[in-house]
Amino acid sequence: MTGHLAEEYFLVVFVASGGVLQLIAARNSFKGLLFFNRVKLTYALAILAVGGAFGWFFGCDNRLETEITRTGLEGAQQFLYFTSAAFSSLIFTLIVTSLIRGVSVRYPNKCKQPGLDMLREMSYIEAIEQSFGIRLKKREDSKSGDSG
Amino acid sequence: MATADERLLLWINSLVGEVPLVDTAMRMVANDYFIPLILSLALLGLWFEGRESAQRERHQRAVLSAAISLGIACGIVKLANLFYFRSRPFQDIPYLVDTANRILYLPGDSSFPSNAAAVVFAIATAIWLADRKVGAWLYFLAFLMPLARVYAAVHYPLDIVGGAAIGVLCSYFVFKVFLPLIEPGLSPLFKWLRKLCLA
Repeated sequence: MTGHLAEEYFLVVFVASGGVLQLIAARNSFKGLLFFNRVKLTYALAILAVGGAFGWFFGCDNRLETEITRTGLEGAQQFLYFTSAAFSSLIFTLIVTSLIRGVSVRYPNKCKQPGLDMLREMSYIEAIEQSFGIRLKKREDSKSGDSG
Repeated sequence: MATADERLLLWINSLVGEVPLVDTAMRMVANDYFIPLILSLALLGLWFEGRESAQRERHQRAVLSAAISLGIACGIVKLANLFYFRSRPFQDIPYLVDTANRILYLPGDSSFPSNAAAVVFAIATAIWLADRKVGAWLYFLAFLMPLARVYAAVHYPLDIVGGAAIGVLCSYFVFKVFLPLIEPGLSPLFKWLRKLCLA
């Protein structure tokens, strides 16, 4: 029973964390973290993700009666599942937004502010390229130039 | 003769069954998942919240402080349980077993100090020290969970006060003493997180 609850808990945290990340990214104009360009659509998605995840976990399958109020996960297990699910959600967001934004915009301009502020102007993968001074795309270009 | 602690518990517990909607809300708030999940998501959001990098770093230090504080608070509660055992209200007053079963479950560990109160108050205090507005909201949530546990007769009010005191003191200690002590290690950590565009 605990194993089943652990998977469900991981899922609720994963989805709700994704919603929270979208909400905060929209609030603070971190365009590099947004799935959609339209802020209202992002807010709607975020509310749906957080509300839906909570509604499903606490409201469906009579989980409150059968598992949630009958213990289940220990505090340390909860902490472990929460951190791994939230981190997975962050990685998922960074990968998906990099794929979406990498296609539409490449290096709009150099960002002077380091850290998270870079995500206001570029995708995560572009920010990492700039932050570490590497250019994955250029390298690919030079390789193709060498071979030609 | 009942102590003030017992009298307050019995008064709060007398409300069980009066309004079914309140019972349902208390069942939701009292469980091990609902409030801790909201507080944890708030910590995640707070890590990225802030238009200025200085404000964001203050939040991130508070999140770090909350994580360390709740670990220390849990440790102190476990340690206290080794030396002191107080039975649960439903164990002392047998007719409260039904109430406890209806709202939550029947824990077997020591009632004092409340682990749940220590954890939620540690998180709320850590955030309150960095951001009064968000901290006030988290204090409100932190207050609800232990209250629901008294309502469910799994804790005495004094257990909550003890747990909350541990949580608050741990956060103060971590924020004011521990974080400045490990500052030489924190600065490179934040530098690397900024390099990875995660701070």
